[in-house]
Amino acid sequence: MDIKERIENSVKQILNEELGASIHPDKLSSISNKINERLSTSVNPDELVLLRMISQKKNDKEMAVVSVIGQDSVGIVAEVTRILAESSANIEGMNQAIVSGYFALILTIDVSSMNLSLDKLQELMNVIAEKKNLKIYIQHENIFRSMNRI
Amino acid sequence: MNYEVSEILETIKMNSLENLDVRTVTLGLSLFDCINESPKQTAENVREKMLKYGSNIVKTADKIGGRYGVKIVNKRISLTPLSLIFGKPRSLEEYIQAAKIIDNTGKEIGIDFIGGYSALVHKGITDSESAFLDSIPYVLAETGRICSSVNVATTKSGINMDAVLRMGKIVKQAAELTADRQAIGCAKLVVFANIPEDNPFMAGALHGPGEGDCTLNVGVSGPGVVFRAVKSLPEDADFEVISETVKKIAFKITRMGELVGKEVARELGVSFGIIDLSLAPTPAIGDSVADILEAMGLEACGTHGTTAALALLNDAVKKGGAFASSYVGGLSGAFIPVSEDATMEKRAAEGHLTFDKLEAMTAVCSVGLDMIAIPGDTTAETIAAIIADEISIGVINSKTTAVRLLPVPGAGPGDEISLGGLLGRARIIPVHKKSAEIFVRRGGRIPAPIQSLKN
Repeated sequence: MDIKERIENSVKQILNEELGASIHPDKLSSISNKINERLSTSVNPDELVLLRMISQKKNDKEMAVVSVIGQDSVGIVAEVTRILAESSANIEGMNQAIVSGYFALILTIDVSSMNLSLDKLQELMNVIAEKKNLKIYIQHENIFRSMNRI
Repeated sequence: MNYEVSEILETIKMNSLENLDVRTVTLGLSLFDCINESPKQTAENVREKMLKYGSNIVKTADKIGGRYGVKIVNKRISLTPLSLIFGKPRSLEEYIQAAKIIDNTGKEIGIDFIGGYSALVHKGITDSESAFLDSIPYVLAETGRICSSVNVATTKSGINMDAVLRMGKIVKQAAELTADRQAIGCAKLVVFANIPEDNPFMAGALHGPGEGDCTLNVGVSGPGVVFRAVKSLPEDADFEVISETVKKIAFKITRMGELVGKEVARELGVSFGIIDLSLAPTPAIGDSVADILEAMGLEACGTHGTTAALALLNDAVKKGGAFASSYVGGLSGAFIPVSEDATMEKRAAEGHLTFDKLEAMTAVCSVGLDMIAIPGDTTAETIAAIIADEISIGVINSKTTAVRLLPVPGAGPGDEISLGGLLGRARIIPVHKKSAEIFVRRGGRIPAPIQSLKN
């Protein structure tokens, strides 16, 4: 099956699944034809392949930001990362600094394969936070994207 | 890492230290499919619809709030104006019984307020609306969550002065019926000009007749964030700098609100309506609109220059917010509810912020004379005249204005009342003593202004 045919089939299949029963079959095929026609004039097949690769790459990961702020003490990084490892959250970025006497550790983590929910992870972090006199915030990446990127 | 450490820390600071939150997610429900011959059955149908769409609103809002580290303070429901749903005139008992069913449903779901015990009477009052209006003070006294709003004017239709006078009496009666609770009934009653159909903020929220079946609207807050940004500017920073600073913050606040609102809507399976860009203060220290005005260089909010400062603030908030979201609606402007804003309340108590200055300020912001406690011996006619003044500002300027006054029975200028929670506390502000009785009793309608002839 060539790429054009596969795309056309996918569009048809999705429309059928989503709208199948609620819409007249003629209307359905007319919509699917229009989408395919539009796609063939606005995007060339190479670009489509690229697009799919990019979207797949994006879909694979779901990022969250863990921010640890408070008084510096021995073993903060060890404790935080131990919990992340136990939760199967992969650390993708790490940045640590002392800002005006306060310890600040920012971790970007991939939560897509985590074995517990963000709420649960926050609860576990709260225990460390209390023990070590820190504040630990876990926030989905989207909040930073929407507030800081146009 | 995709984000600078400073960006992440700034967001955390806004949320945890500067009171930035999503003030309300308000689920708007159309009730036209709930209409029944019996008002009790109508209310039961409303109850079913509220349970169907709103049961999970509190849980969902908390979940999404947790995901982003953003507090969603209030979860509310707005309804199609109930005067349209109850049909023909009903007895007072029937209205109260129906309202109680709806109120209890709200309690069951765990929401804070239900908006929509409302009537749109800007051009005329039908017999059903007349009976409905009479029931408002009783319903407010006998329910806890239900809020009422009445639209008495629009730029297109002019001011229905009969309705204005009626509202003067209704406000007075609402105060008397809740005299034992510091006139709390009046805190849930707003008189409007040009009422928006998609406002998520109480007490004026309703789900307009032009809206869809079920929509989620969002109101953000954030005076604390704007205050700290303006405060950090040098004293000689010019107005362009102030405006730019406010715009940037408004952009961020709006984006956060939109993200959270859309996620809650998606999770609830309802459509996202609008984001309301209002800066809504709370009685919490550091969450005040008056603080922002003072940070611009006024010694006390209410002094000369206050209206200009507020105009600048309001405009910059809108510009930043409008760029951040395509669906902006509701009231979208800075609020100046006196009792709900700690600094504003303080300045009013000190005598710097007078009734007349507040009225002038409403010409350049949203929404109007809001949460002002006035002497208990103020007559219904004087209240009607205050409403007429405020409403005419809205009608002539093609904007929304509103009045929410508390004529606290037995209280005089200088006395203090405490309403609790977000409603805050207030010192009684004096109003003019000279009568406007002959004026407000003339009856009829003040014609629509020339500005309405736009076609």
